[in-house]
Amino acid sequence: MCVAVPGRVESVEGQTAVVDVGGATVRARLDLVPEVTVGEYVLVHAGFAIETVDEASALEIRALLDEAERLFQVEVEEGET
Amino acid sequence: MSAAAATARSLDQLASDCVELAARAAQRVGGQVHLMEVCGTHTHAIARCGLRERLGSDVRLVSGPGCPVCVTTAGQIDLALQLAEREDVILATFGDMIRVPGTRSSLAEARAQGGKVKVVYSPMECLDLARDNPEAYIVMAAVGFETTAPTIACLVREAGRLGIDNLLVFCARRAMFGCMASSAPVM
Repeated sequence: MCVAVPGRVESVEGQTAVVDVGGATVRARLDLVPEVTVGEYVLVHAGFAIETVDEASALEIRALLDEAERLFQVEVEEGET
Repeated sequence: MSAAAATARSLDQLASDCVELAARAAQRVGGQVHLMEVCGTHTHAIARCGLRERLGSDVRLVSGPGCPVCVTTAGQIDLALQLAEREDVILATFGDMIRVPGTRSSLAEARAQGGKVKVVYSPMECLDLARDNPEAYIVMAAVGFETTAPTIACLVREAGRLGIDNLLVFCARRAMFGCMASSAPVM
């Protein structure tokens, strides 16, 4: 629950947004950032958009998370051999 | 050798390795070494191995930030377990909480033994749980620091707006007054 992930808001309906998080579609409540509009980037944490971020920051965070995942995979594979 | 004895021996070996590493670190810096236990599970493991006593005065262990899950105390887990064991309760929890040990068990073990423990990704899932189970109390195990407090507040507000009256919050939250004061001095 400690990791917030960046994603792009695809649509908004009432207090809920559909967010594209690295290719996966998640639903996020907008109670904490009610002014968000389609096309903006948000950090999603435990089902809530908790902060808006600019595109460059979102992509940078995404790249870091992807890198961490790759490193984790390498570790898992090395652990298995 | 039994599995328990083997585990005890390997823990003892690990503890010895730690003591040796710490002594080398102290020698290298030429004085007392300060080590931060970043995660609460480190603190638990250190206590369990009796490492603090073995490290001596060259090493000072400092409790670090911890995450919302690992800073939840065993006593609070025990209370959550008591709730989960009640017939009339469904305990909702974040997934990473369920393996955290209390003094006698964990929520994962309680669930395996028939306790009604429901993992939620978002606290808002409790609204559907409450509507789908009108005969039960849904209790959200609310852990975490200031960052997750607003999401629990949203849950309570939404439950009030929808007239849901079988939803409760078990508040096991942590506050970081110093951090909040320095990051938001107007508060």
